[in-house]
Amino acid sequence: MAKHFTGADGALYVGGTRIAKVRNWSISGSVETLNVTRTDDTAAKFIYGRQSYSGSCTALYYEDDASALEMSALLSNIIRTSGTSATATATLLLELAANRRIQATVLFTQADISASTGDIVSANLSFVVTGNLTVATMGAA
Amino acid sequence: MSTFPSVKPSSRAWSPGTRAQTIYQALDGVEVRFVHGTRVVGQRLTLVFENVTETEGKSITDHYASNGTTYGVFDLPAAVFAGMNSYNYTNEATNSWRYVGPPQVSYITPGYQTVSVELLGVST
Repeated sequence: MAKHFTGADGALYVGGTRIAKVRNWSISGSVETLNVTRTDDTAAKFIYGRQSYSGSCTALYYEDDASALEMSALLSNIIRTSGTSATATATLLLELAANRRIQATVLFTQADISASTGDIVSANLSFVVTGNLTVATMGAA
Repeated sequence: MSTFPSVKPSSRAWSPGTRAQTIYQALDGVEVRFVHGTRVVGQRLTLVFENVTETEGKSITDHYASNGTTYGVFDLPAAVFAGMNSYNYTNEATNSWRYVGPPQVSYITPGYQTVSVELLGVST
């Protein structure tokens, strides 16, 4: 039976823990092209090079029943009083269904926290993937 | 005499040479030139092999080494002039080629490299 996915199907996990209040997430993948055109070609020719991925998400900034900031795993490498460890990474899992996932090791690179009158506080985060995806069933047949 | 590897370049720049000559300039500025031969020498040919395979790139650096680096002279195959219908005027039968310096190799992505060489035309 055909299935269309909606935003309600989307889930985001950091370090294996699902971030409950996520408004949206997106990931963008691209592959470099290497120019292999030779002097006798009449049209440009290319082959694939390196892949790269980046993305973003928006999560609500809120404390759980234990007064813990649930999204601290997303923010802690950016909003901090000391330098970020050069080797700090996080494992991010984006999911539409159990068999439609992308998992990767990421570096969170930007966090924008905004508070507005009449609205709840949320944070927009950007990330880049380091290395290859470790799970890529979202693109599988 | 060896032949340069048969690899098609991604770009090629050629500069025609000059005939061997001696220039004398008198105190009054008058210039006299003596031509010593009929052959043109000193052509420059710059070849860039962008994103070639490791095997193709190694064939060029291997040729440079086996040719005595900048010492030996060699011929060029037709592949070097790919895209030119007639290239006799850039690769005269009485001329050979010599490396001006070592090939420059850039390693871009696994399995591929970019190699550039500069060649000097010599009369043989």
